[in-house]
Amino acid sequence: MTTIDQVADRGTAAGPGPTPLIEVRNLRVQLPSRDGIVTAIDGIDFSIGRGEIVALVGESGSGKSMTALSIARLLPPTARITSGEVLLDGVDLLELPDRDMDRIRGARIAMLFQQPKASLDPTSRVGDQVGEALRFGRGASPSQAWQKSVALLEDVGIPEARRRARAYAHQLSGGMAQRVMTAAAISGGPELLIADEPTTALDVTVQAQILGLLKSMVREHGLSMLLISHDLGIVSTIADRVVVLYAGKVVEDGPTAQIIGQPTHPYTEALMRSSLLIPNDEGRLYAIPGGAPRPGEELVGCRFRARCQYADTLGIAAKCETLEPGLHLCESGHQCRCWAVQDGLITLTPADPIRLMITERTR
Amino acid sequence: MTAADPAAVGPGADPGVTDTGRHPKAAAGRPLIVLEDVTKHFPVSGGGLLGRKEVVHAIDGVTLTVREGEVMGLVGETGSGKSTLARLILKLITADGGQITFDGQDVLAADRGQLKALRREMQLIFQDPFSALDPSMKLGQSIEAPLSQHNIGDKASRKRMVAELLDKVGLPASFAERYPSECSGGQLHRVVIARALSLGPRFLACDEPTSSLDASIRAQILNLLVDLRDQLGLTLLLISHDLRVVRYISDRVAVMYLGRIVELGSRDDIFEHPLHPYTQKLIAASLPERAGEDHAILQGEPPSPINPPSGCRFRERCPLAIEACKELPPFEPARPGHSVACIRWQDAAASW
Repeated sequence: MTTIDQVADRGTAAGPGPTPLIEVRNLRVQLPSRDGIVTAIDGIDFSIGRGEIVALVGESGSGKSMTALSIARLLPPTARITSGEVLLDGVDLLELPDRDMDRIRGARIAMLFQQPKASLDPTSRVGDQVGEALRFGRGASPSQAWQKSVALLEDVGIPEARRRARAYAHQLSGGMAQRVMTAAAISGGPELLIADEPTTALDVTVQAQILGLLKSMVREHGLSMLLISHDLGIVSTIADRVVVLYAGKVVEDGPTAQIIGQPTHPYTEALMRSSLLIPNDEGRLYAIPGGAPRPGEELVGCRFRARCQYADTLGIAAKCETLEPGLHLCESGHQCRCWAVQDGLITLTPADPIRLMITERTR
Repeated sequence: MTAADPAAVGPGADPGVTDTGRHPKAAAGRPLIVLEDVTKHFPVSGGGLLGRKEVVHAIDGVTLTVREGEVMGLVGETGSGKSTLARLILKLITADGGQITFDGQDVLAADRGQLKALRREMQLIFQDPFSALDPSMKLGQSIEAPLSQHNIGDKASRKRMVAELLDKVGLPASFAERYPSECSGGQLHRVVIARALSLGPRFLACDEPTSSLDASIRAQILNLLVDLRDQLGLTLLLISHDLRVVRYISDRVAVMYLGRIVELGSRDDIFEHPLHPYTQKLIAASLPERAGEDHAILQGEPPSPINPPSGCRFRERCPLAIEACKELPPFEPARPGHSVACIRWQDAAASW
């Protein structure tokens, strides 16, 4: 167990509590682009319970990273939040003065990015960087901060932590750098860790190590985590709940086992099928036809309609083209935005070979 | 094997190849690229301004044959030398030792003129399409550039060729007038492939061709690569750390670890009966359903290629390592068409 008192003192119980730690309500973010103002996030709602690992999944351009940056209020200066709330323990972060938000970042909300080596300062020793939040956020002396950094580096599985604390970023491998970033992220004793594609740049062997580390850090310290990824396979190994984004909207939200084992939204199913890379009888891979809507494209009806394999075969194409489906509760804690599901036209058959394969894989 | 497949009944068809993979015509080809005992070391300056010179053992004695028409998958962790190997074949960097031939022609000894001709036959596709294309050039100009550099056709015929190339990769001719910033990553990838095909190469090295892409687009690009190879009879070297990609597309697979090939076999040999403990760990990490429960996650990371361990380079991370592994293990056939550099491959095979 860690020696960091701030971290150890946080007696948060694991498991989603009655009040979520984070509640995102009707968040809408717009960005200027050459084609005019583009709506990157178009009214999304989801929550993260205490001790819960929530994965935010979707293709590039779906709004995953923008959502994460909105929560931490690190959006690029040109982006504008046009509506919505981000509640941390009931307090709207979007209303806080910058000074208060500065205190929340690092102390209550920490972030982990895709390129660990680019996130580290090349000119300062990693031990100093890990201790930064302790010195400036918690007023520790330089030597206290250094001692705690070394302990944290040990915690995240860095061999010879005392010696490695004196290293610079360029002397670390990608996996080691991500461990260092993890240590820095948890040093301030945050309640929420936002990890944006934390393993995408790493080797598969190291990916598994880092995912295991993140999960154990979250559980040991009673943190909540928002994990952002385009890879359903990765999130299935550690997330409690999965929120699927498509073109700036939530299309499915439910427990991981249900999302992976029985994807309900046609997009989630297509994403799952295409990520398995298992060829059909003709040796072809399943690929979702077409591409996601281009930013700025006018969207009417269901946003996935043009790529959906069910809309035509089920004879509801006209409805899908004109009316946007709402989020429909299909089971307790499982929502889905699809007319075919809402009208009971898609029935989940556990005997579907694709679904069986998925179950097999995540077993 | 379907009746629609002409190669299956042609004189080149080898009756023994059907069990090597999905592409029956592949393994029938003759050797196109032959590497023999190829070595590449990069000097780096060690600690401090006056530090002594150290050497990165990027490639250490690699022997490999790529046959005409096959897809050779090359897998390994960062720093294993996969990308260096592709660059050596195309002579973008020059090997220190050993021999590399393309269709019998010595690549290392090629002079400028010969090299220019060779590069029409061999092309490389990089991982990041955004940095592979000039943002200030229209896509048509980018695709046309190799044609004009090699003085192929006049302006009008080159324009036609660009349209044909775009069609080959599944893009409308109007894309020639677009700029990179107006396209998605998947579309740019197709453009990069079109440009690589412009000179009609026989060999295409793809360095992590799909790792910057979303899952849905990745499948589209892989399908395209398979189509092109079937239509054009291309030979592919596919470098990836994603074993799912390699399993789908490869006829044969070479596994690299710290500058050496540690296992080589047909796709099914490698994925169904991996013999090297390292290959087993790689498969367990990326295809967990393939491995038994007792295949724990590989710990640690590859040691530095600056001072690689003596003997078997994997021994420090290997669960089966014994004293004798301090000697360099021979790279030998364990089964027909399936070679491994591990003295304990029989025990490893038994554990799978």
